[in-house]
Amino acid sequence: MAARFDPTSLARFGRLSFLARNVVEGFLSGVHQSPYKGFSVEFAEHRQYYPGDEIRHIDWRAFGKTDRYYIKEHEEETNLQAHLLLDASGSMAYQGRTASKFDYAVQVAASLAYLMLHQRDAVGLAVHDHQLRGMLPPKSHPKHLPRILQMLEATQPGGETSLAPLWHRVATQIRRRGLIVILSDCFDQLSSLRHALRHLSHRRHEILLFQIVAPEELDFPFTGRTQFRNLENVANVQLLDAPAIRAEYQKNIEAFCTELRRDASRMRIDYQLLRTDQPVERALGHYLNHRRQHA
Amino acid sequence: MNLSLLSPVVLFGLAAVAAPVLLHLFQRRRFQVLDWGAMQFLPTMQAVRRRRLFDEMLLLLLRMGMIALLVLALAAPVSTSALFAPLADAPSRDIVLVLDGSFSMSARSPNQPAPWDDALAWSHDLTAHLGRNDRVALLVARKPVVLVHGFERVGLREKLDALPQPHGNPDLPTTLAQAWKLLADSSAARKQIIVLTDRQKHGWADPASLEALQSLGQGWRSDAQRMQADGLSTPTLHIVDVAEKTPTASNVALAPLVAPRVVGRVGQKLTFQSAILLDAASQAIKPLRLRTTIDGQPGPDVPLPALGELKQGQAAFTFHHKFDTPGQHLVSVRLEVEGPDAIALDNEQHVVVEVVRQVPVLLIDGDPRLSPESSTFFLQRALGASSDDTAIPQRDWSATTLAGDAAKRPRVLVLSDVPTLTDAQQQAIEAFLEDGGSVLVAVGERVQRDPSFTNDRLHRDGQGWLPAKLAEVASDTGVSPEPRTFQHAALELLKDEGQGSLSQARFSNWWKVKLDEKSKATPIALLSNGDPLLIEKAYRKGRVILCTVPLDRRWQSPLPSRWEYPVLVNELVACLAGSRTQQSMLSPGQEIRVPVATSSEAQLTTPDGRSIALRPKDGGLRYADTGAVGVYRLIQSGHEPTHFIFAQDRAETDLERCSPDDWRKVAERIPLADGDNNDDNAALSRPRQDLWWLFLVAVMAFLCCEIVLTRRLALQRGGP
Repeated sequence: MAARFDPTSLARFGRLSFLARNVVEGFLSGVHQSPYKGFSVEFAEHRQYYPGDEIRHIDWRAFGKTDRYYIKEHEEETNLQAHLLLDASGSMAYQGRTASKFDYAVQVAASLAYLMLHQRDAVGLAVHDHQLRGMLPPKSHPKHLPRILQMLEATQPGGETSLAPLWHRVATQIRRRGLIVILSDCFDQLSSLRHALRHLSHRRHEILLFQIVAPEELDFPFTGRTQFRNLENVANVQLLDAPAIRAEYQKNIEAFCTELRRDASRMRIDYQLLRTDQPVERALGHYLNHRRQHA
Repeated sequence: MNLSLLSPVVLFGLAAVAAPVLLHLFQRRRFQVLDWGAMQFLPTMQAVRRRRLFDEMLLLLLRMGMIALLVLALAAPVSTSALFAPLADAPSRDIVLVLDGSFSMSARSPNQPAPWDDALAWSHDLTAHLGRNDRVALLVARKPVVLVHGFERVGLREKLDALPQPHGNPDLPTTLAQAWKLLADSSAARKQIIVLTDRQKHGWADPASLEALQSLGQGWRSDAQRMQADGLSTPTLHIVDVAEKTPTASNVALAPLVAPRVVGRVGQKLTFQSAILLDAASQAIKPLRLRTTIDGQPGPDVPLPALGELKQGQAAFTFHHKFDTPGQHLVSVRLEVEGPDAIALDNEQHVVVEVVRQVPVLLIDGDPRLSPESSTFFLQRALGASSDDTAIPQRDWSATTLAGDAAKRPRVLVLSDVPTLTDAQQQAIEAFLEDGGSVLVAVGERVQRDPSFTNDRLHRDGQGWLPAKLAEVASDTGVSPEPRTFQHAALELLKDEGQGSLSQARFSNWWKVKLDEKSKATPIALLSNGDPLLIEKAYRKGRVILCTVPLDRRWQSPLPSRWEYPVLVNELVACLAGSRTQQSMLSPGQEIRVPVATSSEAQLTTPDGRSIALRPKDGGLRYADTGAVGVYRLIQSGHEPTHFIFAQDRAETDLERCSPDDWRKVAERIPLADGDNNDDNAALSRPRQDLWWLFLVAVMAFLCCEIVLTRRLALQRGGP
């Protein structure tokens, strides 16, 4: 696997590339002991030979191993086009005792991109807040990874959140059916999100929604009087007694996440809540699980 | 409900009530800043504030309330309200209740109760609200002090109801001293002396009372230190002004009735003098008539003096009466008025006079035998003595000569130029004076032979009965009596120089005397050169008059040849004879003593209307409860009634109350309890409950509520 990716060129992208590679390889090394066993990591897709298929696509190596005929899918025909949608709004900049949500999302995005490109899937990247900040079309060439990593590393979270319009736009722009991986905290109006996700779902895309939250945003462990300063609008502050509002806050966010999960389920969107105190591999596993289900 | 604080200075601690508020405000200013992304899930500030505001305010109030209640508990709150009585026993209280028993307490204004009635009502209110552990003693403040009720548990109300109207002269310092003594050894938690008085200036702020209170206060202060060292509580003195709301009353009174001569002969006109006392406040009172009573029978009315001739608020009057029968006679005069006269008791005055057929006199002659040349020759004729027993040579008389039946034994002993006396004779004279007899001493040439006896044995440096020390015999040609210097009732008839010839009597020799303060003697007549002619001294129950010239012709004395001589001698003897009669004029507190020979019971009527049976004891009748002023009438079977007059304190008729300055002088001398005003004094009649424990219970209740509320808030917040 390392031959496909030039370590030298990857090395230029420093930590993130190293991290992504370690995550993926580490994850994959454990795959053989995992439920994901049986996946082929060398080739993309194989399918059984049916009469009429072109002989030149028969994978003879696989025949030699299995005495069965398998057709080797072409990249263009078999590789998925995946689009990573990364939320870079100000709320993603929140950092508690773990990595910030954005950094975590970047790690997940980098790792997914690494894994996808390793599987010869085409990966594109769109970074946005309330507007599109950067976009890379999906490509499967290994040299696309450094560009993805470069964009990831160059992006700093900020700006206000307005997810739904962007998702609508993505739904309009991406014509070819593919996989859309959304990496966001989804802190927006639920009704708008629902509408946008429905739009994406109607376009027959596979949607993988990773809601990334910090553990503090779920547990609300704060004590005493606290001035909450909006990361997206510094003029928006609220001075509150944190212990006094804890119950209500947790109820609100739990209701939001539950509703989002429910909506996603209704729309057959694969939803996963990721906490920044959980390993990034969890996202990879979920991705692979998704791929298996949709295979 | 009334509430007071024993330690009000602790209330400064209420400033700590602000601490929870300040802490709350301080905490509100402290907060952490957090950059947050999930703003949409935070509850709105308004919603939070509404919910929290009530809880925070309640918690704040509870904490402030706890501090306030704790401070109040430390300030030692007490209450006399009956509301708290069932909650706990009040600390034990020993009370000495002092009722001002002076007769000014009976003063009445129109449509107003007398201060005495208010005092009794106050006392009943006190007894009705005594705590279970309270004890009360009752004193009536008068001369002498009356202990009506000790610290017995029962009987106080009945004794209050049985108290007669006040008839006494004031003696508050002595009463306060006795009250203090009653409480000195008490172990009660609280000791109180409560004085119910009209705060009349006379009795509280007159010079004699202030002086007495000064020494009393000094004694109390040292006693208080001792009590505190012994762990005993110190008595507190509370003054309740029962006449505070009573307007100053108007009062008209009579001055004491005086008889210049209290011993007179049958048929002799005796003179009686008094005065109507008025002041500026008594203009509304109109004197109507002066009625006399002689031995209980109405006598002639006395013409009213012209009230326009007031001198120092007095209008003097005089009347006369002749008595036809010998014996003791009671003469009374009563003033009837129209208008709001506050006190009726002082509108009547009395005097007792004695009428005799002849004043029993014993003349002791300095000559060894009687003759026309002896010293008593002229005296005997001047006195009209018919009996030879009247005059006795000096060596022939003894103590038995002075004894005998009360009606017959001598009243006056005349020592006419007697040079010496035996020891027995000296003792007899001492006893004679002790019994109320009186002595007239005339000194001349016989005494001159050895004046040392007279000075050493009879004068004794002022300790003896002789009024003055004999210095030397003086000689001159032009010295005569000076009538203008005659200052005695016995010399009233001789004061008018124009009508007499006494001032022309020239003495060639007379005795010069030395007067000193120890003798307590008073010159009552002087010679023209200023030397004393007559000197009087009160000794024991009698009186002694010393004449510095002989009452005979020795030294060529012209006195017996003057027509004034018998008048002088008789007047002197008659005045001296009144000493025994004046034993009927007593001061409140003095014991009535009447020697009797029988064992028959006698009946004594007191001025306040009580009738008391007296039984003879140790050869006499005795009665000591003489605090009520007025006439005591003793009736023995087979005898004429005997009267004793206990004189009113004339100053008591002046109803002037203590001014603030007067009261300040009183307060400087004796320690008065704080809150000396009637609003606080109303609470004195209630047992005082300590309420600090109630406030502490409230603090605990508040603390429990605070804990519950804090816990509830914590649970509402939940944990991280």
